[in-house]
Amino acid sequence: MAIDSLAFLIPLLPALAFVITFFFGKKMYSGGALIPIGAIAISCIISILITINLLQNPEVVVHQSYPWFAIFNLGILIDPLAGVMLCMVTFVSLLIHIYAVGYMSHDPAKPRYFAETALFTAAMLGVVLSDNILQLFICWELVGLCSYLLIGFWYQKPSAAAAAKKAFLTTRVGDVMFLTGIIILFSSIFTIYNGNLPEGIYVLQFNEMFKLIPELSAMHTTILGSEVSMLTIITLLFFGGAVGKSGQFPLHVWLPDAMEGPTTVSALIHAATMVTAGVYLVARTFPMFMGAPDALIVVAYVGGFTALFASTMGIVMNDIKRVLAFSTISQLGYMMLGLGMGAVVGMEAVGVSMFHLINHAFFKALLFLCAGSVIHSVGTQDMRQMGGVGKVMPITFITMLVASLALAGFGIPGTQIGTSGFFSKDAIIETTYLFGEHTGNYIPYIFGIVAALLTSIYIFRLLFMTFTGKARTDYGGHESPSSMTVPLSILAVLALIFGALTQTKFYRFLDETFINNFVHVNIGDLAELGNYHLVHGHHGEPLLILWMPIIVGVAGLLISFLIYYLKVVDMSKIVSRNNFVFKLLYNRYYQHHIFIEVISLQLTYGLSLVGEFIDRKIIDGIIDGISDGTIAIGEIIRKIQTGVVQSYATAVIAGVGLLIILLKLIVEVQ
Amino acid sequence: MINKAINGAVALLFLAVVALAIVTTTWITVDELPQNLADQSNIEAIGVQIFTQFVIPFEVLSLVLLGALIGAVYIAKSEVEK
Amino acid sequence: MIPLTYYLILSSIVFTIGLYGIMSQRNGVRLLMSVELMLNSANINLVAFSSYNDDMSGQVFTLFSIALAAAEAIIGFAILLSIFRMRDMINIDDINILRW
Repeated sequence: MAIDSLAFLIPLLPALAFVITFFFGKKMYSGGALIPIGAIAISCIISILITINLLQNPEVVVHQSYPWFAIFNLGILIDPLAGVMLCMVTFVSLLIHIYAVGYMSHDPAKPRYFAETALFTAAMLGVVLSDNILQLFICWELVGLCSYLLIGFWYQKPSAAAAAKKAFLTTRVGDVMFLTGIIILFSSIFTIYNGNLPEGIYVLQFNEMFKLIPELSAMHTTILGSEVSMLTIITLLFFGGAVGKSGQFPLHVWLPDAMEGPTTVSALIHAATMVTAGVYLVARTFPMFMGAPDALIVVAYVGGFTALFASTMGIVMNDIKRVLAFSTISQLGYMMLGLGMGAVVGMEAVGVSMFHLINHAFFKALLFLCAGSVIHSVGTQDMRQMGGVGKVMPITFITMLVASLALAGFGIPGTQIGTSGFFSKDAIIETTYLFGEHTGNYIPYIFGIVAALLTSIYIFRLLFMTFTGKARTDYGGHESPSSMTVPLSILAVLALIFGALTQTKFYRFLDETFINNFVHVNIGDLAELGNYHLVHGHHGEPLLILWMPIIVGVAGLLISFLIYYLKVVDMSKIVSRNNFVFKLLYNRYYQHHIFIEVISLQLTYGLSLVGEFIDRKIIDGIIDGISDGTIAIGEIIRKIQTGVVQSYATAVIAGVGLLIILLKLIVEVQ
Repeated sequence: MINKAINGAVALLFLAVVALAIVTTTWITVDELPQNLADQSNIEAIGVQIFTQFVIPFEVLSLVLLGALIGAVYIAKSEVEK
Repeated sequence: MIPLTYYLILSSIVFTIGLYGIMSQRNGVRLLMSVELMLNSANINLVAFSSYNDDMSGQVFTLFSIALAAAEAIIGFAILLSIFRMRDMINIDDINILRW
């Protein structure tokens, strides 16, 4: 039996684990944690085996499809792109589940926690495995739901409930765009086929979609007086969905608040897996983006701007998890930036970006789990109350240091020595340089390099503030149990060496994604559709450019070291409440205020008033009018029902009399 | 007062309808009433019929009357204080 | 010979009087009297048809009917009596505890 035939088990087992844990978890060991762990472990093994198969024969993708209804199908597609995502999701999820056994040990609602994370894993695997865009969307929504449930896991806390609501509503904006994109795509396909959809193929499958790219690209529509290709609209709407899910500007506001959930949830969902679904979506539909002239540039700019924008806010946050949340947004921006560079490097952009996605999943999950370990031990999330934690938690400190180095991208260019972040992030920055060199537009490169400097500053600030110096409050921490430190160590090893081991292989592997027998597209043709000129064989950037990321990384480390360790500059004087820049950053560019006060209160409130008027006055008026009328008539008719039998008798007799007269008349007429 | 007027009107309507029906209907009757000038009473005939053809209904009726009597006594009797 | 119609008209007039009583009266005893009237109008009919069809069984049935009317009256009055004991009146408009 080939391992491929077990592919359907990958999402099914966690889903089953959800059901079992949810209903029977209370009586089991540690809230039934072992069931999701076992299920995800099996999924992980299957995923890895399938991916190894793929590595050996990249042209044999796993593709199974079953009719669902009409022209839609349910299907499983494991090509190299999905394969690496599968391995990452199942593996990180497995480690975090194991970690959660320790982390959640004091929580009474463990069955709910494990059930929901299992459901989340199943949904996320569903997103990755989908072979058509509709199924992907369904799982995508399910992922959003799980995110909502888990952010609001401690729903007793008003802030958690509010954060869950905010996350749900903000991502909803993106989801609506995504759905609109699917609908426009479907109607365009319908138009292309002149309403006669061919029998036997499912038009929303990725390969069928990609076959129609030239036709879609040729369709135009007019928006605000300018002609826009249908493909551009569709891809931009897809990207809108990705913006919502992956926390890109301007829909990133939910992600920092999502840290109200348990730290494991932050690590699993809001760092490693779910937020990368947006990146995955863009990567999955990348041929369409290649064919759209402007969409990729938008992706690049939004990504680059987000990377820079989020990292500036990360510098001033005092909540350890919030720093990491902004870091996540920033890194996701890098991934989008990397994808946007596809305009120049073609399919390699997917490889670069996905490589960063995988590495980021490892080191960001590690960062969150370390933070969770610290929070678990210290009992606060405020870094100002920590300090010197490294002495009591040595394992956590070392793993955190590794993760920070990986995030900042430390390594030696030109060699195979370096953390995983070094290989992936620097690849993206180099790609942006190539883009600049090729098009004369160096803005993405500047975004990338400045964000790298800021990244290094905020992560080492976090490290110094938390782990070094003297304890600022009496927290009495302790090292975490082994169920927490073991996953930390495994992730740390991966964060350290994964990049060096796999980089070149990884690119080659992912390049196969769109050149195999299932999804076959000609990249060159697509690039011509989008008026791009691809560059091949681009080695030999100036040495300075190669070293630039590491230089800014070290610079960031030094700045942080001087300010937060040696305290050369007293930050408390600069960082006063009255400093304009600080206030701007600390209040997250007042975007929250703008959203709440302008959009929510003015715009939405106004719309709501109109809606309320229509709903309450017109619709309710009609409904209420009908019911009030009925009641009024009933009140009147009720008077007739006196309950006095005699009145009834009178009525009966009168009726009989009249009836007889009537009958008589009719009979006589005849 | 209005009630009584309505009731009266309904009753008159009913009467009119029924009377009209009675008048307009052709009743099948025997041509000549049987006359027994010697004994104008028909009590004997009735008595014979009751105790021959209708004896069972008669007995049942007696039971019904008895039941009604007992029921009436039960319903109407004053409650005995114990 | 008196036509059959006369008897039927008499019967219907008696019935209508009973009907009017049923509809308009609120006193329980009067109601029962009205019911008796209606019943007796039926008896008149029975006897009339019996005579004009030369069939004795109609008159026998009249006797049964009278006996049943007696039984009905017994029950009716017994109920009225017990109501009167409880409420000191037999105005049926006020006997409405089963209403609604």
